Amino acid sequence: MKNTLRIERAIKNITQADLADQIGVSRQTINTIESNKYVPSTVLALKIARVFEKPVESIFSLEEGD
Amino acid sequence: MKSRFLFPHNWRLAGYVILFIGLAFIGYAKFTQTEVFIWHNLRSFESQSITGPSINECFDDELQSLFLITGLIVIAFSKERIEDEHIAQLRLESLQWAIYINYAIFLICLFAVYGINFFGIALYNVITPLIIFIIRFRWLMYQERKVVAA
Repeated sequence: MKNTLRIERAIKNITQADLADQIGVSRQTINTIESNKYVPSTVLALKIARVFEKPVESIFSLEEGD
Repeated sequence: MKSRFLFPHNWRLAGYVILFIGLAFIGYAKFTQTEVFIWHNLRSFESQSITGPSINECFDDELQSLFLITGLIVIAFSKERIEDEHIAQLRLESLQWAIYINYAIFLICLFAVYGINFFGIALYNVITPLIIFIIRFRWLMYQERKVVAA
């Protein structure tokens, strides 16, 4: 699964730590999602989408092999 | 995400203290060759002495095991400061990893060690899964935090 988290963060101008605080996870979790090492649960994906006020699909998308 | 069956974060320090007490106890008993806690005239089912003569039982090894296992369990299963789903996944993967490694070592010992020495291996095997788990989990956390801090 791909994501545009890093870009969305840059647009909103918030750090990994800010985002982590807002959704109540650790900073390392945001980092592993951004580097495609960890696929977040639906709950976490929805929370992230809510922070950026966008639908989940515009941040997370399937890639070949998923 | 709610993580169940975990101790509060600040218990981890207590876990280290309990473990240290256990290790210090073992070190002291080994070094001085003394028995510290002895229950005189114990009548137990195991020794079939409920009706017969009583025995003097040294409880040092029981207490040492209690301290070691309790300490390791608390260290292994206390929450991180922020315990989330990703960390829960790391935790489970480390646990699986620890079980694999533990049994691999055990199988090697099964064919490499015989006699009374094997009894020692079997005894250590009570705590090795916890030790391997703690090392593996802490190593993964250290690696990830290093990346984040960079």
